Amino acid sequence: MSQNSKPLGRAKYISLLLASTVLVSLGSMQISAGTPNEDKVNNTRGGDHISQMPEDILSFILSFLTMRDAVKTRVLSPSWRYLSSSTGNLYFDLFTLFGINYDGNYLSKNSDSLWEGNESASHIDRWISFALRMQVEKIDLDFSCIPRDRRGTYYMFGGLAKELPDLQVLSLGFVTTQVLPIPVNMTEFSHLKELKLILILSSDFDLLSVASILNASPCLLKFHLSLRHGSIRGPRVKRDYSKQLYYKLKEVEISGLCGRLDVLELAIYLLNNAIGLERMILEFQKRWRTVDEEEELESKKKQVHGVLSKEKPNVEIIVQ
Amino acid sequence: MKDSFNPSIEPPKKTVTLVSSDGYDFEVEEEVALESQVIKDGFEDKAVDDREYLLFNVHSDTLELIIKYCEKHVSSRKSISAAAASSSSSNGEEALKEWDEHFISVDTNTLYDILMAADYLNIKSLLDLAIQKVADTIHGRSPEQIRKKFNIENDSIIDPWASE
Repeated sequence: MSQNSKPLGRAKYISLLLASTVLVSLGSMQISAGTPNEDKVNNTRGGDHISQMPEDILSFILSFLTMRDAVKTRVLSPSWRYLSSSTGNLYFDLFTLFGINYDGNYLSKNSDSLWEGNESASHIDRWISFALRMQVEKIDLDFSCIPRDRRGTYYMFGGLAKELPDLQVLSLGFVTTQVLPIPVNMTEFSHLKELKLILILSSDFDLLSVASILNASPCLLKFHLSLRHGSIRGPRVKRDYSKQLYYKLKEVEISGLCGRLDVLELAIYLLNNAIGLERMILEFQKRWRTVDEEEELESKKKQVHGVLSKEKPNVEIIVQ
Repeated sequence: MKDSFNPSIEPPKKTVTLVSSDGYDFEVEEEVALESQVIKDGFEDKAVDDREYLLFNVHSDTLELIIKYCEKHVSSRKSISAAAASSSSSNGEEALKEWDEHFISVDTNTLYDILMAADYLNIKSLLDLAIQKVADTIHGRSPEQIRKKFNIENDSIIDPWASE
């Protein structure tokens, strides 16, 4: 509760942008004042109209462009500099990064080979530092196709928060067997509001260790955990995590529920520790089921709902 | 049989008056004016004899173009749906696209005026058309060429990546 929300990075850039727009219009005014009168009559409509258009229209124009073209406009003049980042997401695909055209099937093969070896590490470095310059607020990282590259762990749980302190929305995907255990103490994501974790879960991974990521995100409002089945690698290995209270967290969604016990443990942990929690949504894995299995699922849902609502009656709990 | 052979039974067209920023009146058919979402919203609430709109941000030169665009779109929409109803093959949509392309091939100042007016009046198809035109102008050009095209002043950026 002692957390005062700091001014956001975005506000800073908007004021910068306004300042530079004024600069541009002042500049063109001076020029028109300096030209002879006859010219002035002819040139009244010759100024830089496009830069004076409202920001939302300019962003709209940029959204019609490919990322390559949109980024190119950043060097036009100071008022254009941050426009391409306000268009929303930075989407790094293979074409943007390497000029490779691909179709759906080709992608997976190709990305595997691209990720192999240490070559990928320098690419990741460059993306992150690029994102830093663009003052991004939302980033989507999918490490799930990195073959045994432990470097990802350091990025996810250390470098990322350090290099992108203004990040507000983060989506992280990884295979639990391919990362080191989540460290208990991580660098803080001081502005993060939305976190989505997509985990390909192995049997030995202790789901409760994701609490460490929540501990490092004091402003988090929304947490979405999406689970997929991974490899079976023996029983669960318990990891340490420190228990904390979450004051801001309002919504938790866990999807891809399977029979694992630690999912329920995590849900109960969050119910008890997220003081302001308003809603928790649990969604069972979607797959084809026989009639008997459907019935079994229904009773399971009721059971889960019963256990969780007993824990915290004033939180809306939805089990799907 | 087409109705146009019998004009006497057609009801008189309802009209709306649009007034440009420099004070010119433009009388247009109701359905043409209703292409603008801004006019459409709250149109029914206005009294029939009070259907006059002062468009403070649109110059008469631009308004003329906008009306031309809306008239064309209303009339070709009708002919397209008529052709579809009689299941006769028509290339109405193709022709309209071509017309649009021709319509939007204007100098950058006019393009800017059309874009701002389309935004102000909220005519989505025209706004999309104008924005696509600007995007096409940017696409494939070097920053220097874009600056020249739009009169953007390059005020002394030496290193675009340098921090303030």
